Amino acid sequence: MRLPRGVRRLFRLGTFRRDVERDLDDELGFHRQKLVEQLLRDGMTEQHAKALARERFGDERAYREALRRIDTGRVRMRERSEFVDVVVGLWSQAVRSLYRSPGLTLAIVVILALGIGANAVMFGVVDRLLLSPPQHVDDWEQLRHLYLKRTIFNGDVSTGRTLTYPDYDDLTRVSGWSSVAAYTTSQALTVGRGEGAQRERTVKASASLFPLLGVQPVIGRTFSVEEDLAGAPPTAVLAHEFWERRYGADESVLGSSLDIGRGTYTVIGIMPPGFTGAELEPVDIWLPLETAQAIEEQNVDWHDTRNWWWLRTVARLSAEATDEATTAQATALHRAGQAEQIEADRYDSAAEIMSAPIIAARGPTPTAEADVARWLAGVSAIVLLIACLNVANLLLARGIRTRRETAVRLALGVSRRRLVAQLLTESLVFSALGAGAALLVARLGGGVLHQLLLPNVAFADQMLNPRLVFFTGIAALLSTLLAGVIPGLQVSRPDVADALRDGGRGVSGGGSRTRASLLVGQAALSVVLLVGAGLFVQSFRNAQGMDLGYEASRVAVIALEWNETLSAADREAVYQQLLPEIRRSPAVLEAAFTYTVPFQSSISLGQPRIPGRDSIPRHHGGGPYVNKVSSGYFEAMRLSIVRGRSFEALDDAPQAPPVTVLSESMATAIWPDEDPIGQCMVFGDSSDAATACTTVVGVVENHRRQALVEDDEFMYYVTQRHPALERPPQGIVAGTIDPASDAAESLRVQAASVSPLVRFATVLPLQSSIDPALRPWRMGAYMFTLFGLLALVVAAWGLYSVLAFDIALRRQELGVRSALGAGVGRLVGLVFKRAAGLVIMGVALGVVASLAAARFVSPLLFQVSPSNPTVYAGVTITLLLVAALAGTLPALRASRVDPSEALRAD
Amino acid sequence: MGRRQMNLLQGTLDVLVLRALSAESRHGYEVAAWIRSTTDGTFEIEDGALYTSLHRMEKRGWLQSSWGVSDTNRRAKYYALTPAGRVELNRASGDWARYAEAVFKVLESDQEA
Repeated sequence: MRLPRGVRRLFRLGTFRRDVERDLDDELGFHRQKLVEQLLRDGMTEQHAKALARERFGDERAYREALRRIDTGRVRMRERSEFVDVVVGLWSQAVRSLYRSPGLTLAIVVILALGIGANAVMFGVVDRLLLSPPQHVDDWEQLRHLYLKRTIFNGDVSTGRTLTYPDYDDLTRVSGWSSVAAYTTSQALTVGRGEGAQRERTVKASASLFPLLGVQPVIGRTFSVEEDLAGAPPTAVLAHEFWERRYGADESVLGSSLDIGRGTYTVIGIMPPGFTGAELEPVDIWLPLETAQAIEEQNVDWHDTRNWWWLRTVARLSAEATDEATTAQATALHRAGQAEQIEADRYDSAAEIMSAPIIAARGPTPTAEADVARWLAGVSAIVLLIACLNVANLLLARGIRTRRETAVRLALGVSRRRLVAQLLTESLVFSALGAGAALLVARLGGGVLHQLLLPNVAFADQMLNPRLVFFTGIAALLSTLLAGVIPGLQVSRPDVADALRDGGRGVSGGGSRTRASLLVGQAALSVVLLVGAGLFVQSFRNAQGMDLGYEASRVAVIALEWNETLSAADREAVYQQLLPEIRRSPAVLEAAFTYTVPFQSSISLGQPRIPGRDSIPRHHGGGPYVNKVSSGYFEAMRLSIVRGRSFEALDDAPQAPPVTVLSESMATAIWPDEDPIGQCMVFGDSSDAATACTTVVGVVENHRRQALVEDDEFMYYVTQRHPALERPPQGIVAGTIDPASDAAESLRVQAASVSPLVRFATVLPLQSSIDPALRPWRMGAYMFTLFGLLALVVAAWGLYSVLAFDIALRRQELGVRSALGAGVGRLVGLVFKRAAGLVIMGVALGVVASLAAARFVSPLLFQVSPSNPTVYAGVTITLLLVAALAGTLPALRASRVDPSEALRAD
Repeated sequence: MGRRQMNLLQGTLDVLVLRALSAESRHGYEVAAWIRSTTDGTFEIEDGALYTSLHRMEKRGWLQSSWGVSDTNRRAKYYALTPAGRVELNRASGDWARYAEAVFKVLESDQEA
């Protein structure tokens, strides 16, 4: 191995191999010259002398060749051993010197581990979402997700992933795509029967999906094209994770039958671990598209309708085909399919099919997850920057402590280059240790973070992903080099005499200012992250604390699934049987039937009529929406009646007169100046039963139908017997005394055992339907809080070490002050004054930076101003408190300085 | 050059070179001259072989070289024994002594035995 010239010169190493030739010439030339001179002196003619010298040497070419070989070998050997010596020397010296200050070494490694670990986790996320295709996908560069871009009824341009079944059928004919596959989004279906039944994530996929992606099952096989036809014997393929979880990876499950949704399927294969198809969401069971769809959707004409968008598609581009040609052909086919609708001006004639890489986050409609990845990258980069500043500070502190040693070495003639090489080697040791610890941090923290921020992404459970290790190594190297630059510059040019004179105490050294500004930088960056945390936590709390009307956390929604295809009357009978039992449950305050559930479903029956009026005011949000409920609904939902009365038990009776309760917004819009109670409304079409008057008996407060922020919409409620909506209830809402999640399991058992006709009961807190709407703020709050705290810990640690170090350096000065009569209070005050000065400067800078940066996040906040004074005040106070805390121990130490001892030292 | 010249036994050259350097460091020409004069030109040693021996032993670590200035003020490569070279010299001269002794014993023994 050849060392670069500079390094060789640096360490005064011996000859290069290229010098071998020259040396040989010199040596042999000298010999010949001496010999010829001697022979001349002996009286020989020059010609003879030269000839004799040649003769005495022997076969010059052969000897030279042999000598060259020997010398080259020798030089090579020496270079190798010198290199090893240099490296071993530097490393052992580095390790020794790190070992001498274990506290500092530990501090640096921990800080690096946190900073780099956070970035390793971030890289894992970015890699999964933005850089890598889904797992087990073969030759992914040729794969395309297909999108449909069209203008929808309200004039908006919609770009979406879903197509109709006939569209998919058409697209399989595009010549440039060697294969096209379709699949549904994940759907929770009941698997098993009775008590042990569970909801699992199923995806219906065309048989072509597996060969298109180039994936093989680990056991068994995937379904064939013949098995993917309506009416074919149902087959199912299991995900590896599901197979392990549910069957303990027992191979005998192959060939057994499994109740899934409405059908019974034969298990025929197990996919490899981590396989999630062409998407990133985890899947439990793969079902054949047409077979399963025919079983699940018996009443829907899914096969022929061009009006139901439910399939995602993925295509494999042939080697010689282009995206332009294939999408042009696909667009033509799609428009041809919609020709009739386009003709009637009911469909966008400019609708087009687009294709994009199989990495969904890079497609035309990037997911929320991709945003998370980008945010994470930014936030974790700030944490790493703080860590670097901190490490630089600690190295600097260390450099000052070893100033005298350095000066002595310089005085003894050790070159500055050698010192710098030593520092660099120490940096390398730090980065090696830091990278190792960071991988550990990433391993421990990554899972938690993935679960918290991206629950719907399947991450490979792989500790030593080579890309991750590579990234971590590079990050560690760069950050230690960055952190090592300033200390390196400072340390390599101390004034020898100066340093020797003041015994390494250097109170007023230039390093002090550098360290202070590094500290201010850290404080400022911490403020930025904490302000982010504060804003998002505030948003999350605002969103969570939104008055939705109902009390979502104390409402359980109970829904039943049936064994057979039951008539509406039979279903209603079972519900009628269940309701009194639920009402009797000690955990339940009140329960009632419902047809729709907020944030899940809503239904509109067109405009009601009011006798004597042409029309009623319209609401731009659509509606009015209707719900069919039983008495007790408002009480169970904890919606307050504003006027009139609620539904009562008598209203549920079959012969009861039809009554309605209106939402406040609807009542006010229709009867702004009159009392709505007792008014007559007509719901439904003009068939005889529906034309009867429905009497308004009450007005209920508004509630949120499907979004946290929406206008108060028009809503009315009718009773079970009302002819306008003759359908069985879809579920029961139960207002629970404690949080609904506590009562959910007992209610589920109660509901599942009510009748043998019930196959499965789901009981979910209403809150769980609302949670997805809270997700962006929850995610922001978690992410900024987590990283903000991390930054705070690192910055506090940094402040502590700098203060502690200051005290150590100023022992003598403090001793003098103490001897001259300065009280303990004064000494402690000195320390705190320094801490406060640094932190206040940092906070000021951080606040300015945050105010500038907050503009960018303001669209993501929920009813919080980006300059929310509470948040800024809170962060400032937090930082000052932390600074005080970090200063306490050093201050105590300062107060205990013994003057006589401090003055005697050194 | 009245006496007949002899070919050197394999490996013997190394011992001679080591011995030539045992007292002081010398450059190649001096080594050659020393051997020649000490043996009165008994051995026919090609200079190329001598240098090969020097370099080989330098590679083995028996000799170390340094560039110096000769008595005539020219750049010359001087060789010196390393401690390992000294050990080797002792070992090889011991071997030689025993070898020669054995050969002499045979040559000077009675023919009847």
